[in-house]
Amino acid sequence: MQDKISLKNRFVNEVLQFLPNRIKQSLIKTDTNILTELEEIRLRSGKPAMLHYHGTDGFLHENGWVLDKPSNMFISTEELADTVYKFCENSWYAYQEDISKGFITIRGGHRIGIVGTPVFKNGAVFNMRDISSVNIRFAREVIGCGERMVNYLTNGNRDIHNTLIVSPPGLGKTTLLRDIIRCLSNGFGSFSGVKTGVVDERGEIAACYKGFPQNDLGSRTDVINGIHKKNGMEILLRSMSPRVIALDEMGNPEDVSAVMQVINAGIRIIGTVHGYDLMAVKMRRGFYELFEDKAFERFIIISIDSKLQYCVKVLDGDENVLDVEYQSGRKHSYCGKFNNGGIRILPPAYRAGGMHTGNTAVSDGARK
Amino acid sequence: MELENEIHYMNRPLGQALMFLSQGKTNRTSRFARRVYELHKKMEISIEAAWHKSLEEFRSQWPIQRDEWDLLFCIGEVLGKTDRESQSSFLFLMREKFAVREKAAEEDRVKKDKLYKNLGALGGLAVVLVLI
Repeated sequence: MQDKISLKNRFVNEVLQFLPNRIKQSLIKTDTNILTELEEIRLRSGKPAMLHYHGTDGFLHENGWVLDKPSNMFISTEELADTVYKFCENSWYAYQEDISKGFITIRGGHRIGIVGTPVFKNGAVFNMRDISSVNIRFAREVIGCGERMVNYLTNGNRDIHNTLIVSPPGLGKTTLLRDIIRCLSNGFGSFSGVKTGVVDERGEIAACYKGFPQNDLGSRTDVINGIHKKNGMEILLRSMSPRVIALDEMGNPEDVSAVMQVINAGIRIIGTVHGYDLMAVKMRRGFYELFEDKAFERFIIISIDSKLQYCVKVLDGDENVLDVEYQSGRKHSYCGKFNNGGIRILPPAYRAGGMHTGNTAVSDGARK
Repeated sequence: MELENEIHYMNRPLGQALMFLSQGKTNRTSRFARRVYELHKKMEISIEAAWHKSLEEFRSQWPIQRDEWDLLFCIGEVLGKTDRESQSSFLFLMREKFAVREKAAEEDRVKKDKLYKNLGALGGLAVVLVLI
């Protein structure tokens, strides 16, 4: 469990050093409550720095305040380019493949999204010039968020069901997948841990930095990083003989057919896919065959309703509901477990004049 | 050459590459690589700044010409700032330039060697003539 101080220290050690000096000085003065709740920092050329925290956003003032209206602390193109260069450890070449994909992963698993003008070579994005926006997304593990659901995925003491996690973007399917991997790898209750291979194409699951996974994926997990899912699965099969292979964001028909081959080889699969419901996923190219062959024996569907209530539903292969878990909000790792969390809002009293200057104490929402 | 390998084949960021180059070796190049790495890490300055600072520190220890110092400074300005292929071709170009300088220096040495030998012989002859 991480407390606020360790979260702040993590932020200072892993991210702050790379930011432009003005932003750094300003963030040092910013309220700790905001810093520990930070989800994103967005730097845009010619625009003020924007902080996204707690489902809301605000603009950074030079005194460290977070304002509702844009401040006058504009970021220059040079500062932006210099920031990305620092994130690349002064070695643009070492991150060029990542940059061409639009993001890099830094120590701590934080993801730096980069957009600008792409440079093409042989029809593919080769580099990015004139960087216009940088999005620093903070990685946070939610240890324990998959503990309830993982019970429905096991098949005896040493085997699991092929599982597909379906969720719209941003609702935590990667977070859930990560925790499920950790549980399966370490074992839980009467379930002995199994050798688990992870194909981490985008570096989001393990968030490897210099070969070291920044997130806890368990003791029996092997991670292949930054490789296409199809190739990654082939290498894992040949070299690591995993019992389970986990992969994030399936979608490419090529990946889907590779998944079928893996399943046919007797290896279990846990994958995630963007989607609002199973029907929408079934209609996709490649997935239809998987559903026809009843490749998946369990589905986890994550959704959110208009009251910001999260719903995590487990279905069996015939789409019968096995369990439903309602959560009133996602909580960060220092807050404890995923479930039992109250949605935390900033009371209007603390936002007087549109400025969060005081101690932005948070309170449990009414929908707890 | 080794740095080029670290960049082109191992794709290591400069800090790590310099650290690897300096490990377990005591030659001048390794000492220089270690110093750049140390300055970059401890003083939290860019590789370029650390490179230039280290060159200043090593200036008195390396008997090389001004234009060669300029080339070394130039390396620090470009390292890490382009893609892998460009880094490799830049380092290759620098090696070629140093090879040309080395060849010129060698030719100069041979020429001067000859000159001093002739001067020595003539000087000896002059002394003999004076003594006679």
